[in-house]
Amino acid sequence: MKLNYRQKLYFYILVIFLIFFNGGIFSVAAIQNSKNIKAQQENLLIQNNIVLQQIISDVEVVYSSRPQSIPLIIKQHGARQKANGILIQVETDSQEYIYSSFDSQISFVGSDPTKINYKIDTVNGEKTFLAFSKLPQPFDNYNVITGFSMQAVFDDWRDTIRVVVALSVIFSSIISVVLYISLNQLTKPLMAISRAASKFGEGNYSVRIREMSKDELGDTARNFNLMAERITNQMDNLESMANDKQRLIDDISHEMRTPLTAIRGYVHYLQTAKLTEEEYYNTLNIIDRQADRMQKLSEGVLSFTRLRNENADRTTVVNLADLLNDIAKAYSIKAQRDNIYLSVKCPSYLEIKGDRLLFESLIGNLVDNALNACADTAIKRVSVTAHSRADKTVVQIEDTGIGMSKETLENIHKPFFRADKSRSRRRGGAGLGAALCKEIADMYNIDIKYTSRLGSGTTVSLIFTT
Amino acid sequence: MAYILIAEDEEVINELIAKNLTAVGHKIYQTFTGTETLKAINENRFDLALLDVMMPGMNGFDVKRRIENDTPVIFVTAKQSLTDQLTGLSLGADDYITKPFDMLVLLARIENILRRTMKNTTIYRINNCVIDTESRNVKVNGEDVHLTTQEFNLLEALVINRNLALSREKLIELAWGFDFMGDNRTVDVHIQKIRKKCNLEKEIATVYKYGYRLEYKK
Repeated sequence: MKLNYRQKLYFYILVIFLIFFNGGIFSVAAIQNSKNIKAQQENLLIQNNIVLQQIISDVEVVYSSRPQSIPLIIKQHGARQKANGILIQVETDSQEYIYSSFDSQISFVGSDPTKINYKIDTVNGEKTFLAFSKLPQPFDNYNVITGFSMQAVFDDWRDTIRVVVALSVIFSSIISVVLYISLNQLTKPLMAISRAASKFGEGNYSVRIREMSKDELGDTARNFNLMAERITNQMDNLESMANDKQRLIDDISHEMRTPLTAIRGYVHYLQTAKLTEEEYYNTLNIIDRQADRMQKLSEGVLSFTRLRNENADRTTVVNLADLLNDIAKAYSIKAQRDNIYLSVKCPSYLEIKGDRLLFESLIGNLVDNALNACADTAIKRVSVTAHSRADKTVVQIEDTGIGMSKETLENIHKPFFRADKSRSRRRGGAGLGAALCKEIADMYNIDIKYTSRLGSGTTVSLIFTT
Repeated sequence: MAYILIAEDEEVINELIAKNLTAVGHKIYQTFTGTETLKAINENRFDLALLDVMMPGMNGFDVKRRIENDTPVIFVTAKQSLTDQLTGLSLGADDYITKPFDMLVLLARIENILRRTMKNTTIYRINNCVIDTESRNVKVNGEDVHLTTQEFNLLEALVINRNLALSREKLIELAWGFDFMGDNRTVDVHIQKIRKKCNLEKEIATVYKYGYRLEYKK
C-alpha cells in the first residue's frame, strides 16, 4: 500500500500514541491493583494472626488437662471462622488430617517453618489467600492453613480492566479522529505546496499558493511563490529576448524582400520591355538605389549584432568638445545642403569614458535624425549642447523639426520601426539608427530621453553617468 | 485597356507594377496609403484594384471592407500565412498574390479577372488581326484563320503580355505547360507559323538571345 506523507504521519503518530496511552493507563491500573492486593495481603496476614492467636490460646488451655479435645476445639474454631468466611484446615506433620472447612483438601506445605508462608490460589473457583503456619511449640506438629477469599479484589480488578478497556477504546477513537482532523488541517499548506509544485512541474507557470500559515510551511509557500515568480519572470525575459531576436530576423527578411523584389522586378522589366535610353538609365538608377539600400541594411544589421556581442571599453577618456565638433564637421555638408543651422556648445573640460567610435556613431546618428527631421520645416536649427550636473554629463541634441507622435516615441528603439516609411526610406535610412543608439547607450548605461511634440521639434538627452 | 488602381506603400514596387501595367496598355492610378486608396476607389470607377495589405493609415483588408462599389480587388502582399489569404478571399477579393511575385503571373491574374468582369477585353485588335481569347477565334481581314491549340496558346501569351518580351522557356511554360520536354526551337517554328497565318510579321519581334515580344501601340 502506498501511503502519502499525511497518511504516514497519521499512522505513525496514532500507533505510537495508542501504544503509550494504553500502556500508560494499563500500567497505572496494574500498579494500583498490585498495591491493593499487597494491602489486602497484609490485612489478611494480620487476620490470620488473630485467628491463630485465638486457636493457640484455646489450645493452650486444654493442652495440659485434655489434650484429646484439641481437635474438637479446632473444629469449633473452624466452624466459627467459617461463619466469618475464613476457611481453616489443620493437619499434623505426619499428614494426619484433623479438620478442614475447605470443600476439598488443600495440600500446601510452607517451605520456611519459621515464618508464615502464603500464596494466592484458586480454590473452588475463587481466588483465595492461603496462609500456612505452624503452631508454636509445643504444638508445633500442628500445621494450620487458613484461606481468605480475595475474589472481591480480583473482581474489582476485572471491573477496572473492563472500564479501562472501554475508556481506552473511546479515547483512542476520539484521539484518532481528532488527530486526523488536526493533521489534515496542519498538512493542508503542505498539500497545497505539493499540488502547486506538481502543477508548476507540468508547465502551469501561473500557479501560486494561497493558503499560508505563519510558520515554516507558510515560509515555504511564500518562498515557493517567490521562486515561481522569479522563474516566470526569467522565462518571460528569455521569451521576450527570443521574440526580439525572432522579430529582428523577421524584420530583416521583410526589409530585404522589398529591395530584392524591386531589383528582380526591374531587371526583368529591363529584359522584357522595349525602353527608350532615358527609361533604361532611370531603371538602372532604381536598381542601384535598391542595391544600396540592401547594403546599408546589411551593414546596419552587422553593426547591430556586433554591438550586442561586444564588451564595452570603459577606460579610454574622450574629450566631449572634440568629439562633438568632429561630429558637427562630418554632418556640416548635409546640414548646408538642406540649409540647416547646426551648432555645438560644449565646455572644453568635459570628458566621457569609452569607445570614441561608438560615441561618434551614437551622437552622429541622433544628429543625423535631427537633420532629417528639419529637412522640410520652415525653421531649420539643430543644436548640440553639453553640460555636467553633479556626477552626470548630459548631451542634448535639439531640433526644430517635424517632431514625433506619442506612438513613434514608444516604438523608436525598435529596429526597423519608421514613423513615416516612404519619407525615411527616400532619405536612405535602413530603419536601424535609433535602435543602434539604444544598443550603444545600453552598453554604457547611458540614459536616452526623447521629448518631442509633433510640429515643434525633438530634444534628445543623453545622460552619461560616471 | 483597363483602368487599374495600384495601392502599395513601397514606392519602388508601386512604380514597378505601374511600369509593367502601362507597358501592356493599361491606364493606372497610384496610391501609397490606405486612406488615400479608399478615397480614390470610392471616387473613381476602376476596372480593378491591386491592394497591398500592409499600408500605413489603413490596411488593405480594412480598405476592402469600406469600399462602397464593386471594384474587383486583388490583394498583393508580403504576408504569406494561410489565415491572411483566407481573410482576403473571405472579404470578397477576386484573387490574392504574395510578394515576391512574378510580374507575368500578376499580369495573367489581372487578365483573368478582367476577362471575367469586362467582356470587351477578350477581343484584341492588332494590325488587321482580331483575336478573341474568349471564343479562341482569330480573324485576319474578317476571315477566320485556323490555329492549332499550341499556336493559339502562344499567341494568347504574347497578346496578354504585349510589349513585354517573353523568353522561349516562359513561352513553352505558358503554351505547353511545365512538363513539355520539347526543344526551344519548337517555339521558333510555331512563332514563324503564327506570324504568317496572322499577318503579324513585324509585330511579333524577335528579342536577341531571349525570346519574342508582341509590339503593339494603341
